[in-house]
Amino acid sequence: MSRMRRRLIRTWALTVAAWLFVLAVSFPLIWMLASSFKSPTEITAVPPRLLPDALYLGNYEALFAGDFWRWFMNSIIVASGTVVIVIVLGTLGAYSLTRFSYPGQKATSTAILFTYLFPSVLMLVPLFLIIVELRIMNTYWALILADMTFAMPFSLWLLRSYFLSVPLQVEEAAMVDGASRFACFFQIVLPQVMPGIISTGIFAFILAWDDYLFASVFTTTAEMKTLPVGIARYANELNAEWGILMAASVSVTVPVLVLFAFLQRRLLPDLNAGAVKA
Amino acid sequence: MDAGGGSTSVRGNRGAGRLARFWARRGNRTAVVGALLLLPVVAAFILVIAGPLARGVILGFYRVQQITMNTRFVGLGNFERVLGGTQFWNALWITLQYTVGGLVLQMVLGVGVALLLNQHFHGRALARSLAIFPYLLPIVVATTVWKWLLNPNYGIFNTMLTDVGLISQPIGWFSEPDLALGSVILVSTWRVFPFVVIAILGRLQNIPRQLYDAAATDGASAWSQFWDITLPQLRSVLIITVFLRFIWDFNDFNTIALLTGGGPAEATLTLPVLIYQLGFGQHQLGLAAAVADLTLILLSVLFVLYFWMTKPLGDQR
Repeated sequence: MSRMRRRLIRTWALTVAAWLFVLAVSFPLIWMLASSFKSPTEITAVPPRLLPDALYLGNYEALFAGDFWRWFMNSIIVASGTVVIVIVLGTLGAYSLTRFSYPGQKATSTAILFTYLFPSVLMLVPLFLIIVELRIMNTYWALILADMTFAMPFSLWLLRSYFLSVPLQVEEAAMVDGASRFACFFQIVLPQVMPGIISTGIFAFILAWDDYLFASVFTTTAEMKTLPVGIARYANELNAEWGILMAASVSVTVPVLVLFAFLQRRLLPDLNAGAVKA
Repeated sequence: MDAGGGSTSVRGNRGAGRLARFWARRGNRTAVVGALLLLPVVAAFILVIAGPLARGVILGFYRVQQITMNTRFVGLGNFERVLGGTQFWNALWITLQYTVGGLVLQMVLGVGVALLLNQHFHGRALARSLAIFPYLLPIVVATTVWKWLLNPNYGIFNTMLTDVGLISQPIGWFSEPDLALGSVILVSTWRVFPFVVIAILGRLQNIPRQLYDAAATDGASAWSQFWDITLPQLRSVLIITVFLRFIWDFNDFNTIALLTGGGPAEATLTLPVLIYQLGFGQHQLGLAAAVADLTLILLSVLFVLYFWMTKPLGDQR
């Protein structure tokens, strides 16, 4: 009996400790959300209060009336463009690396891993020169090109492991039955790795969405800024309003959270389960 | 960012080899087809990664005219200037402080929280999602929120600390030369410790229960169970995590650029920020490339050390 009691006390002590910690870690986010709904007077009130008196929407109205949607679209275009290019290339590459055998394959895989760990800032100067020479400074292409430097090795590495984790019995059977490699790829391999492709695409999208370094150097005008650059520049303005900044922070975070939530659900179902049973 | 990814099953590995052999038997033509499929990827790699990288390395030996972008070979001139001055060494020292300081905090906090979240308690699933939340935030959001929290005029932290009497007047956490680096490390730790939690927690869940049961039967205390079972089982994931975090923190541009821009008075000027400032603040692209080259050399040493210490990560095929 006392043993059970001890266990009960232990569980509750752990519950309290864990949740106190979680609350402490989440506090900046709670504060961000609360501040975004505070009026300018409440924001600078001394002493500050955690929750606003009334839900003040003025920050969001001011934010959405400004350049927000322009920057939002820029971010969407750059991230989507990067993802499309990187996924097409990555799928081809991963298929080649995992379903064929030829010399230099292992070296290629190691090289991909190496570049995946490679720091973006070292590419900054040469990319700048190339972008100037290609005359694509301050265009979407400049940002897509730059984002490819980290998104491509990342996607290829991830896709390669997804391709490796798909069992090959079905493919083998189809090949024995005389299916062409073309048909095999589109009708058997692609449907099986589709969850992996979608997850990789989402990860790559989030990476590109988050880019600040390249976007801050390779865009020069206000209308080409992406969201991270737009927000960072606004934060440095002398008359920047914290309420609007917090509203902007919430608005940039929401799409990322939606994608992660989607990712979590997407990763669960195992499409192979049925196919391999036979 | 640096999210982790899919796993490689042993069965998939062996299967790939088998299928490759199956196709290889159908003649060498398949190998050619396979290599051809890789061609666009190789081309893209050369165009956007290998090419620029090589160009960047070479650029360290050139002087670049600001407007015309004409280059002139200056031999080791850039390196002499960089290594002869104090700025590079200062930045290297700050980078090491930032990296090691952050790493220690992240690992201690990350392992501790992973152990905590691995216990049974109420609302565990929700607590786990919330604890990794900071890692999912866009970097610009994390830094903007912390600038607001630590704001000298209206920031909640200064208000709370003055209220409880810990400080007598509000502090400029990012503008005091003595405090800026510590503040930046704290923000960075808050943002990335969940990466450590995710990595360690994943491994903790895979330690066989029987090991603990056997130890408990033998009368081993909780401490000795931790030292003799948990820690050895975590060894390999700890090494990988330390390695990855070291590289990523060593090269972290965003956190510092967004919080302090390297200031005040170079107090947080790390190597990545120095590269940026030399190249795009002072328009000395050659000097920036030289610092990048030196960083690359340091990183390569680290890579060699890592591959020498462990089995290559890329050896999964």
